Amino acid sequence: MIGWPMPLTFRILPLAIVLGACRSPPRLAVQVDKNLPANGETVIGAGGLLEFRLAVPHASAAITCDGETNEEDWITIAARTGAFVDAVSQRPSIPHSEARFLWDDKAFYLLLYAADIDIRACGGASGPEPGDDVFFFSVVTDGGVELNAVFSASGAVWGVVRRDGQPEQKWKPSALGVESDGTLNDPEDDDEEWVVEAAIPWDILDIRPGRDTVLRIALKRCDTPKFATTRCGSWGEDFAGRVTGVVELQ
Amino acid sequence: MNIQNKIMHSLIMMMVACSMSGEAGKEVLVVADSGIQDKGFGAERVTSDFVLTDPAALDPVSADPFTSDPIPTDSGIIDPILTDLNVFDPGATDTGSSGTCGSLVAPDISACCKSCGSGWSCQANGCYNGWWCNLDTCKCQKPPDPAACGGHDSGPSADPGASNPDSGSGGPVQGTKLSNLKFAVVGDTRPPNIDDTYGYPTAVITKIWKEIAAVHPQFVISTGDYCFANKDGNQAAPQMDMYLQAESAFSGTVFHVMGNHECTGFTDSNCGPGNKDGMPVNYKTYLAKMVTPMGFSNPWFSQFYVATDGSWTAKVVVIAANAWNEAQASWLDAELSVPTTYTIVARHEPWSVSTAPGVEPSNQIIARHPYTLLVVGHTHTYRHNPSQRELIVGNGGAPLTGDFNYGYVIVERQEDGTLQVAEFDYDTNAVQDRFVVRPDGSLVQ
Repeated sequence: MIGWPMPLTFRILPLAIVLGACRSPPRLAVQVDKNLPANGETVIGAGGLLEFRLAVPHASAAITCDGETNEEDWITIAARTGAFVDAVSQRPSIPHSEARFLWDDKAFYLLLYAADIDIRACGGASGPEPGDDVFFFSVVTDGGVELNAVFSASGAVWGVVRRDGQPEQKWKPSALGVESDGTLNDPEDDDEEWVVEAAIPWDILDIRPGRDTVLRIALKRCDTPKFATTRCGSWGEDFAGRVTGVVELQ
Repeated sequence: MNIQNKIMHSLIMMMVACSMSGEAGKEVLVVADSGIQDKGFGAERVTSDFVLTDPAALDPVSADPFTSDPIPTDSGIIDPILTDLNVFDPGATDTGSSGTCGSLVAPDISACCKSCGSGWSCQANGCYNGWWCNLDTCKCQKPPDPAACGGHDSGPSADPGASNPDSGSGGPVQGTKLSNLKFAVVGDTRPPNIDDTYGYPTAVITKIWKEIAAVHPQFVISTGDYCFANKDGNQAAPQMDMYLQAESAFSGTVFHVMGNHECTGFTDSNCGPGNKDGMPVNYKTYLAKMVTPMGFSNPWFSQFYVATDGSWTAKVVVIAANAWNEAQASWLDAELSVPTTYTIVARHEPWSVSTAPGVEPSNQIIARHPYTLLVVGHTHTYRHNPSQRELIVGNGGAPLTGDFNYGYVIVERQEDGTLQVAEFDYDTNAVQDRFVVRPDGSLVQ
């Protein structure tokens, strides 16, 4: 169990500390935006945590990570998170964000959607800058591999992989496409959205994928709209920052 | 520390950590190669100050030609001021389909009128929907009063679809009588991804339309983008059907403004005969499902309203910035030249989205005329820009980009002649914003 989000170079928080941060189970059930389809369910998982579970189908054809969502599988069969929610209120967060998942024998595929009136991506090699629009992504395997990454609207990705007893390893997607409908870093106009399509190869997670393979996933998107403070929405994270998203390959 | 602060704190700490690790020569983070694509949808900001050509014309009483001489809306008389306008009359009556009445020729007799556009079943007289041709003007108009013509059958037809609009070639025009001016605005109802019919925001738009219907506006302006579909694919129709199904909760008149997604999807697209993007499936589907049923043949059209007591007049002028051509420009200038107490201009793209082909040209035309509000969508939020008298209503189900939740706007004329504009949260019905404007669009503080 990990806390989320966490500095990429920080150590994993011990489970006892995480649980100590919230002695009672969350009172708010995980909700999916009722206005967007999602194919998951909410269950009470280990330790009394509410978990949001998604069944992720195998892609029927090759996925090209170009930021376009023109593969039919993204529309027809992909697992959908529905709208990300505010971790405290559990209401759909504004601006709108959502994610979809697919997999094949090579990789786990992410489609991240961000509605955005002012797309900002100023970060460089050292990481995102405050106010940048980013997705935080974390995946944890039963084998103890943890991957944390930050996806920027500019296409920059900052990621690390940790394995028990081994030094951190830098990571980037095996394939990545970002498409933006708007102008980066220009607050004078109104932008519309940006989309990330990324592939996470199984070998980085030390997984031989198959049906019933389980991953624990958390996603958070933070945005700073014009004339407003930074706001975040998430999927697979409870208000204490614990990973509650569970995906099972189908 | 709340979750947002926690996130930002973590982000800052991460950057600090990364910076420190960089200083130590240990590169932890990497920038991945990416295939960034920019559709080039970005908009340039355009600012402009309006100069009213005749501020006195905004006086709701003295400058209104209808105040002292209201339009006889039930008589069939054509007001010369309003001829050649692309409007319809929901209150038209059906006198019959045979014979003549003075200079008026019934539908089944060959005549000089040429009001039939594409998609309409043309009558022998050159009109459609049962309208008669006036041989003096070669323009169509509603059937004459049967009493004046020797006993044609007549019957009321309140259905706008039974009217006989004319897209520029002239037609009968009268303002529809209203007891008060009260209308709703809703806009932008598309799924996040192309062809994602499964992800259509049906629940949002269904609830919005039920709430709109409950407040009984006299008409509704929908600001466009009813779909997100491949321009020549097969998903525009089912998505628009979903929209119309939601809309069916409201039985009154709905003006469907054309959005860029009713063309190719690109903001700079331009559809229609002779334009660079021609007639893609999305455009044809929009015309068939949302324009022609209203009785219009072009995606630009207007409607005039008159107070039942003659105290005010209003016009709604709908621009199609993604089907822009010279004919529309001429039409727009003519429409806006007709003085009315209130002028509501509707378009999909806001003032600043200059990439849409019709935005800057129509901005220039609009700026030459008085108007009360410019109602737009495109940006998926709600916003009031007083400097341009612009009301952005784009939070009708499309992925939200701004600060406002999904919702809609109700505009209602007050006793003092001002218009109150209120934006409602679709979930709580709470008013999220409210302001009042005068007929000239100036803000009442």
